Amino acid sequence: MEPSNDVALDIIITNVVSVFRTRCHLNLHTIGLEGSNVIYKPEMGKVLMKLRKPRITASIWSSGKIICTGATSEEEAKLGARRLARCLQKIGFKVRFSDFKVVNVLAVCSLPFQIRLIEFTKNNRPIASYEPEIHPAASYRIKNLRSTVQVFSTGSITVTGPNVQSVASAVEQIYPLLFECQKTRS
Amino acid sequence: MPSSCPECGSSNVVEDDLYSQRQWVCVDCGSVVSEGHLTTTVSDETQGRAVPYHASTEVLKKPCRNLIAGFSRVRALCQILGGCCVLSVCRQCNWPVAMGTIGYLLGVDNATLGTVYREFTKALNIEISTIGIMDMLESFCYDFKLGPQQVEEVFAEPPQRLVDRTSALIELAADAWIVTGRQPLPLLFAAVYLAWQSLNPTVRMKYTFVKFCKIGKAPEQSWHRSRDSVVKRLKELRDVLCKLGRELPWLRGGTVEPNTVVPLVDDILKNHRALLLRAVRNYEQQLQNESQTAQTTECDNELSDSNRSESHSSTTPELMDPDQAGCENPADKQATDCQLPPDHWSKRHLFLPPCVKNRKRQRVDAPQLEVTGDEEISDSEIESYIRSQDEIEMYLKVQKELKKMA
Repeated sequence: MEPSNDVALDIIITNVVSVFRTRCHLNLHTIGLEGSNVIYKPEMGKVLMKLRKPRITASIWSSGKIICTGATSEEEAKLGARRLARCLQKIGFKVRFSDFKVVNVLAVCSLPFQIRLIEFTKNNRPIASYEPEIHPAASYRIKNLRSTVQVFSTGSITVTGPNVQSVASAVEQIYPLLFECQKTRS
Repeated sequence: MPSSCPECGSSNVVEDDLYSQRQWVCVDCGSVVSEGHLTTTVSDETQGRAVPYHASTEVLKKPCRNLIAGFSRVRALCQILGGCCVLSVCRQCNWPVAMGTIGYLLGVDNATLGTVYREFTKALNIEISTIGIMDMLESFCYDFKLGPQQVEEVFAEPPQRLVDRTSALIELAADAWIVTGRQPLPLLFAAVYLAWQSLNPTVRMKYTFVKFCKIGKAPEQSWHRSRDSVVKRLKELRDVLCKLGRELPWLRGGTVEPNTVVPLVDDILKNHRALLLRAVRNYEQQLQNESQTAQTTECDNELSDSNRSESHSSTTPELMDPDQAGCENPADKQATDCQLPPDHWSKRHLFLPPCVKNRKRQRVDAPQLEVTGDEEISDSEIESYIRSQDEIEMYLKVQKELKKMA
């Protein structure tokens, strides 16, 4: 995604978290026994299943709710979720793939300049907050996009939002603000 | 037949039956002296009866363990809340108090204090300005008791001189990526210690950081927990000073070691801009030479690599960044460089932050597939995630064996 001027920024999506439901009760003990690549955690009441092809880890609860993490795009998340549902179907449960939703997308971006964080926080006072003794990054919450951007002084930023579109818009929105506060070498 | 009442001592005991049970009752106090076959008195019965657990004083005096833990936790939280109030009021009045100071006064770590402080400001909707390390510097230096009346002549240092020298050191540290992302207090300790040493190196070089804190009467809880961080910052600061110190022309390229660089600090700080320019110029020269030799000796890579690294180490090894000095293969360096965008600022800088020096290798997955989400999922693929009947039987057998052994 490119911002308004002719700078090409590489936004790398590192994690997509999604949820879906199987609409049936799942016997975790059976899954733990008959599935391979599974870790049964009885103390937490869930089974962790790892898929290889879209590299995905899924937490499976007995109520039929499943959370998938580790995908690198929304489509990959859906593919992985469907593969997982198919796997559970084969084990023997009456699975119906429903209510698939991407819940969180995490992306990182490396800006080509360093940033003066204290100046950035001063210019964007209530939206940006920076407490150097708690966390090294300044955090900028964009309410209408429901996204958070964490800005580091080295120029790296991490963006989390509900979907890929909001993440891209967040980067577009914050780029000019960061450009103003860059650390130009004397 | 009883003749006197054990309760009040009167002898006025009459026989008064209750519901066809013979009872002897004292007229004066009304207590039943004896009743049918029972011959105990009230006081006998109350004292002789076993005391139930809930009525014992043991329970009242000693609260249960969870209650004690809960109370101490609430007390600690109240203390921390008080600290947060003090911190926010000081910040709002532009008095730069560090979170670490409040932390050591309460005996609490920065992380807990930080969490409570964040929730506190969110709940009360307080907007507080950020303070930088330079704001904390002056009050920090004035805290050390190094006046001429308080310590010996050789250790004494007027606070203003200490502030000036320390601020110069911290500006240098900020350029070298030592300040950002780190806790400010350990760095302040390290910088003040180096500044104090450099203001009279001949006498003060032999005093360690701990001795310096004792001389300056810094309270032990303030630096004790962060002692390791202070040592790390000292090492980083000394390395930066060495890198610049090597550029001093009157040393003529002699060795500058971290433990002997402190006497040179005065000269380094006075000319730090010029030294930085020289160092950067030399570094860029180095890069150019390397890229040229990499182009010309493409064929016999292994031999020339070892030769090159040897020749480099003989001329100017100190100018190379530590990761490059250790990395023999230029192809390796190019691999790490590729992960950054081509015009990234770190390609041109001499001092780099640790996150850029130790770049994490990115997950090399299968190349970007065009995933629509509606592809066919083959049966064989799913089979690989399900155990076959034999595997299940074997798994159950192994589990049984393990249980037997345990």
